[in-house]
Amino acid sequence: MAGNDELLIDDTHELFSRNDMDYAVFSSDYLQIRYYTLLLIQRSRPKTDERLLLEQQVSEIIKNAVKHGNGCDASKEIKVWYRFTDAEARLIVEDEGPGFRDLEKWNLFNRKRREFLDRGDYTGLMSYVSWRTDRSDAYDGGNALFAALEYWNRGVVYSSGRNAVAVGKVFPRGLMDADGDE
Amino acid sequence: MQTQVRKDGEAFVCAVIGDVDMYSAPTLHGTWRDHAANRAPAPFIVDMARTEYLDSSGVGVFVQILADSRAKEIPFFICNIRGMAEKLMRLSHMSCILPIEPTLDAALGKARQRAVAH
Repeated sequence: MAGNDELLIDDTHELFSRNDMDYAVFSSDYLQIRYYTLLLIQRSRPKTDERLLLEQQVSEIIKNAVKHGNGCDASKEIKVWYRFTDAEARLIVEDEGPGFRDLEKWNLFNRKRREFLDRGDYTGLMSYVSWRTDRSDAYDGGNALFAALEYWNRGVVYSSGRNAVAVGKVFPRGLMDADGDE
Repeated sequence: MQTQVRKDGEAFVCAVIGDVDMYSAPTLHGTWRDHAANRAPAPFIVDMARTEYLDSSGVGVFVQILADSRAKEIPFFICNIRGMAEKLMRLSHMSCILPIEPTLDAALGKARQRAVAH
């Protein structure tokens, strides 16, 4: 399935349906992001490389909420609704921050990036490989959402408050480990 | 994650052992900065053969190294990216711009070509 063109804002999008999803609350502890991620995906069964990719993609969304949403303030929480089956992965993450105010600018930036990619202009592309804001630090890669749009093939959708994001992926057939790894 | 740097001909090979993630990416960047400060203009090759996991912070460090290596005219290559890390590079289209070689031998060959060209 092809990737999506842009980040959406739509409170009524089907990816924001919380029916049949598990729920967890985490404190905004930066050092625990990968641990939180492993807790969430522990029952998923993609084969090894795909499982690591799922872990990475989920981890990036948790990191955005903990770091950019809640500013790593341990008194603030992130709320997570999640569902991982052999057929799909779904995740909704809500933080207590001000929301992704620059979402439209990001979409514009990504559109320019895609234009350079489509033209095969990799010199020009160098100016569009990392999304930076005045709040970015040296180790914000600025590239996580590029991959997210490709990976989450059901979409990357923000709430109107922009402090909640919902993502979904349908797994292709044959991606699951027949023996499981629970 | 740890990095182990060894000399191979004129090049320095940085073997990355373990995950390159938000916690360890600064270590890789530090290894590059040390190379650029002390061993330039010798080529710098990052060997990812012993890395299974890469995230956006790691990719971001590669982009920073690429920009810095161009500014300082230090040949830079990445090799042996596979599995999940290779998939992430493709998803983010970073494989279009990062100097990725399939094997260490190929990277060393490219490094020698760059040295001759200089």
